[in-house]
Amino acid sequence: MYTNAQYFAYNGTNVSIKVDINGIESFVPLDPANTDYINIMKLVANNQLTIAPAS
Amino acid sequence: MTITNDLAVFAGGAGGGMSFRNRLINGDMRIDQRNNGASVTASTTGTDVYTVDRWSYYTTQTSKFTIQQNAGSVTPPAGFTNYLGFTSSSAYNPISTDLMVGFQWIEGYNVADLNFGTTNAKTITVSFWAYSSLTGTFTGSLVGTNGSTFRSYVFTFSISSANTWTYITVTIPGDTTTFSYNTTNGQGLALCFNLGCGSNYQTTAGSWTSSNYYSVSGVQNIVATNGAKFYVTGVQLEVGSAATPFEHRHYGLELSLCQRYYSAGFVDYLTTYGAGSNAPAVGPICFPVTMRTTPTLTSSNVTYRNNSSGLSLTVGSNPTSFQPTWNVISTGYSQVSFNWSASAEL
Repeated sequence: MYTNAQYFAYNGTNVSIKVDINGIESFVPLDPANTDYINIMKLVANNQLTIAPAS
Repeated sequence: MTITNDLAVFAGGAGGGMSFRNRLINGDMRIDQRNNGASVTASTTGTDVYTVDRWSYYTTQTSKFTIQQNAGSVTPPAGFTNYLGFTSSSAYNPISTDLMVGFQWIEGYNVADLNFGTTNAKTITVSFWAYSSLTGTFTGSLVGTNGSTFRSYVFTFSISSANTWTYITVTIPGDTTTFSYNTTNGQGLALCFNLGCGSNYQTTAGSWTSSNYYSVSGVQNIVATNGAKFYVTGVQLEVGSAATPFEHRHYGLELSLCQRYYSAGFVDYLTTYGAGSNAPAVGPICFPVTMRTTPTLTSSNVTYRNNSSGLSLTVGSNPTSFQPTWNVISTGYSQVSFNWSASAEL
């Protein structure tokens, strides 16, 4: 389960998604071959998850 | 006298070569980096639960199984020291949309030579040791994907004696139906063991079919019996129409193969200087081996010194290392210690 998703930026550029995966804070790279990134993008496409902008 | 057969075994079967006959990794369930022998369960649905390395569990219902290396502490079959155990937590009858399955995805690179999806598809053989508190007919399946759609082949196997290790071999013809199986670093083929699934995931055994199926009607659904056990080890998937002895690889080699998909470590008092947000650390931390793709990173047991906070782990565009950063509140040196894990599972 993916919750609390937010882009994480380094030097002004989004480099990953900070997200809780089954309750554990995780950093998911913006890599289309990463399984978590694939799952997150499916949830976003289905309006089941929103990724907040980087703070 | 069976010189021909013995030579075939010695040469490693039809897969060619004496090593790397087994396309599965950690088929003897020795390596358990995540859980170190502890029991896991699925508290959520829709995401994979990782058990021993490379083996996962997927479920549409929470808390139906506990999964553990050497669950129940039975004696493994001769030649093995570990097994993976699934234990049913309740008596549950699956509805049509339910799916509970233990499986391992094989990376596309490692099955590309099977030529699945072409007229040159090779026959493969799956072999394993199975143990259950139940008897009767059980099911497994081989599932392939092109990234969006699936092909699958459901097979049955029989366990006639309860609480006894039974050696199973299943020969599966290659899939000659035109289909673009993944042959790079994505999901290639999955070997699956059915633990309980509904009619939506049932088909006819013994032939390749479109979509992803895992069982047939009327066989054992392990989830339907409270306390039912299904244990497995020595799982091998190889080219050819005959099973060869399980390929025992050196521990260090098997661990390296696992670390392409998951690795973990501890960083002790990493030090930087100067205040600011996302202050750079002293340098990247390398993974033990190059990972399958850029991994998901997590940290735990984080300890700071000198007014620091907010550890973040970033990974570049390559799957070889990551960069820790954190917020340094005051000037001077700042230190952080933490455990990290990196997952590039399929």
